[in-house]
Amino acid sequence: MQRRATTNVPQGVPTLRHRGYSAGCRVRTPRTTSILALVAFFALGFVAVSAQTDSSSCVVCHTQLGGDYAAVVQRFSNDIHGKNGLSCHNCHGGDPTSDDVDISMNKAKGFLGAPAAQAIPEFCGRCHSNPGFIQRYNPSLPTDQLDKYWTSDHGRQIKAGNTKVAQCVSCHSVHDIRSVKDPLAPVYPLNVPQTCAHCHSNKEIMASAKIPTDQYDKYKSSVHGIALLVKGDLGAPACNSCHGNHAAVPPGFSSIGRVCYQCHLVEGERFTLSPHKPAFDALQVEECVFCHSQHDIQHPTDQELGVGQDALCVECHDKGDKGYEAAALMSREIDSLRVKYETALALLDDAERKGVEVSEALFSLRDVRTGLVNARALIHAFNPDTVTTAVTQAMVLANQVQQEGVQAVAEVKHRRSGYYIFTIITIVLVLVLYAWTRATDRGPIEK
Amino acid sequence: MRSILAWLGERFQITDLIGFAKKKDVPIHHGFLWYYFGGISLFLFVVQVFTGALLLLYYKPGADSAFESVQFIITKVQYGWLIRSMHSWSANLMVLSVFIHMFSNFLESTYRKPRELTWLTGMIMFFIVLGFGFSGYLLPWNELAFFATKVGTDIAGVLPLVGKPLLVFLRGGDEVSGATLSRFFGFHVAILPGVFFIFLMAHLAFIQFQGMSDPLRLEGKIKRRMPFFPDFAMRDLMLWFLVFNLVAFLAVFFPWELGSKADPFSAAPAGIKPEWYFMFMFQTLKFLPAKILFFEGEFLGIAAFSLCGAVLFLWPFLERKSSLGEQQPLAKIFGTAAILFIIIMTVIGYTRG
Repeated sequence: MQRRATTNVPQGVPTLRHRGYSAGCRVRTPRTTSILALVAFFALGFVAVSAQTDSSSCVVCHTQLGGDYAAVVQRFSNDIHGKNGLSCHNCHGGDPTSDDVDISMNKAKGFLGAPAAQAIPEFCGRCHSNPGFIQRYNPSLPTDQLDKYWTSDHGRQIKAGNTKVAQCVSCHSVHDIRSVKDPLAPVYPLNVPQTCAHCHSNKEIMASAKIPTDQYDKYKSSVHGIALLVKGDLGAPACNSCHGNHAAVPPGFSSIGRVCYQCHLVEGERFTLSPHKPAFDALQVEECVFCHSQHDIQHPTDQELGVGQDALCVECHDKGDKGYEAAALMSREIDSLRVKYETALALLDDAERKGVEVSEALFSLRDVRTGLVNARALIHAFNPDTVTTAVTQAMVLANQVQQEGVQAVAEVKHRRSGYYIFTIITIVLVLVLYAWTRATDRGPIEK
Repeated sequence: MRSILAWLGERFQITDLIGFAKKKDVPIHHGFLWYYFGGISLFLFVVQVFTGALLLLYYKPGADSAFESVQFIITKVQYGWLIRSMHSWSANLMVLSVFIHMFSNFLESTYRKPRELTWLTGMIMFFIVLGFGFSGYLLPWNELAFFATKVGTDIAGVLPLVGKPLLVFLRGGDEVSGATLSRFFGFHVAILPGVFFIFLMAHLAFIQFQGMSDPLRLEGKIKRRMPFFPDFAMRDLMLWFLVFNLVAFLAVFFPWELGSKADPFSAAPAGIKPEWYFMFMFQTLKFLPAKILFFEGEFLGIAAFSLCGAVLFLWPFLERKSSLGEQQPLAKIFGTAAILFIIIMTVIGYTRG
């Protein structure tokens, strides 16, 4: 069959001839040359892509071309699509059975080439919004990403013609797309902050959006950032935990509480029922953020409660008002439990270092700590009675554990005193024996 | 005292017994101190028996109960912590004392004719003491002991032909489990003490019959001797009080830790180490390459230690010169090298981690 002698390749897609290649991938050659080329094609192809299981002409030719062309093939060996048996043509179209670029990369064969940035969401969405298709590979994978994306700020911006905003490949990478469970994936929880920061910490990119670029730096030093990035706690929130991922938007003042309550349940429930809720709503104040900040949230301290120098309550409540008194009372309650806990812990630590077995008491002390954490969470009810009740309950166990600590330390003293007395007895006995030996020794026998 | 002896004398022929006891004397020379270590080892064994018997009142063998029962002993039982700690410390001091006793006799060639059987019974007790240590270490069923036992029995399993059956025999199965604990408990409180007691009686009887040995280098030169009863025995007693005080000091100021309960499904914690008296062997095996010629390095190491043990055991029959009264430097060289090797390897084992 006479092959079409043409170089009809979509604009922007480099042709093989541009690189001076003619052997290996046929571009308008006689039949004999074609046979030789085919032999070389297989020989070179086998050597070059021996590690590849995909033998499509895309893979073979791109490997032969080297450089960036081959790098794509190399990267694709790690791609989840490749691992699921998909190949280049499944996304880019074309005819992978032909070694002739005019055929394999022919638009008539459905070749799409590399999509423009604004076309990428729909490009990926062809499969990822198709439940029937996705189910064949991963039934648990959602198919609403594209719909969500169009509701996100990113999606709205790209529809408006801003091609700088993030689309699928900005976060998931391209040709080496990995599962979210893969630690090397840019969307793996530990890598998400860095992935978002790639754009959001870039002043040039963010200039047109007029949004700050310090979120990542703030997040890194926050309690959440340290938990995730330093301690490796995958349960700690990354950017997408609060902002969403495909539907990423900044949570507004009305919903920010609900974002935090996803994890901070007790605090959320109590705050919602507290007198602060209607007050914050009326003042249009972001409920959690107002006291705890947002990207640079630090571990809250007991000093932030109450009416002291570092207390947050006094920023709104003045001396004499009901809130001021409530803050002072709650602070006293929490402090008393914390001091009791720390005292018991110090006693038990001391006794344990000196050899007394106190594992049971230390185990009970965990419940006191849980009680303290619970009481701190209940502060968000802003009702002193609630906090007092919780503290009183925990205090019963705390007193008991502290008493055990006191007994353990007393036990150390008891043991050591016993030893000193025993030593005196030993010395006396040895001296008596020595004196007796001196008195009764018959002296050495001469032999 | 005399009236009691008179009363007994009217009923039994104790004068013969007293005469037998008085028969033994101790040669006085500048190596006199070493004679005390036999008595110290015996005293610490008695401490082991008494504290062990008390621990038996509360200890419950079993994977689900051993750790908890030891925890109960050291937290709830009156002075249980003291008894358990004294048992552990006196066990370690006993091993140390036995090592000193054995090497001092070896270096002074006291095993020579006619005391070969005293040496043999002593060596058998030495091996049993190591067995006591190995089996007792597992009984609290804590994490460290569990994995140390696993490693220790793995080493036994490396031996050709007998390795696998020996491993299964020691463990009571393929893995360290509750079955291992049960049989280690059986070894520790019944079999080993029973066998030990027989050899101890024989060892003491041989000494009583043959008297204390003079060092080879001083044979025929010692003019002064101390009667064992009561002069040396009283000094022994004084030393026992001091040793007992040392055990109490260690038990009070450095109580033996229990650690966390063994979990067969957890990964072995870092830095698993055997008891200090097995450390030199453990460290040597770590130094050996995986393959030496056609053999497994570990196998060759174990074979070498087994050979050394066998040579040491049969030494009185291999080294005949001292029995003829001739000086034998080989024992001194071999003994000193072994002591240095044990000390150096133990130090390396603890410092290199």
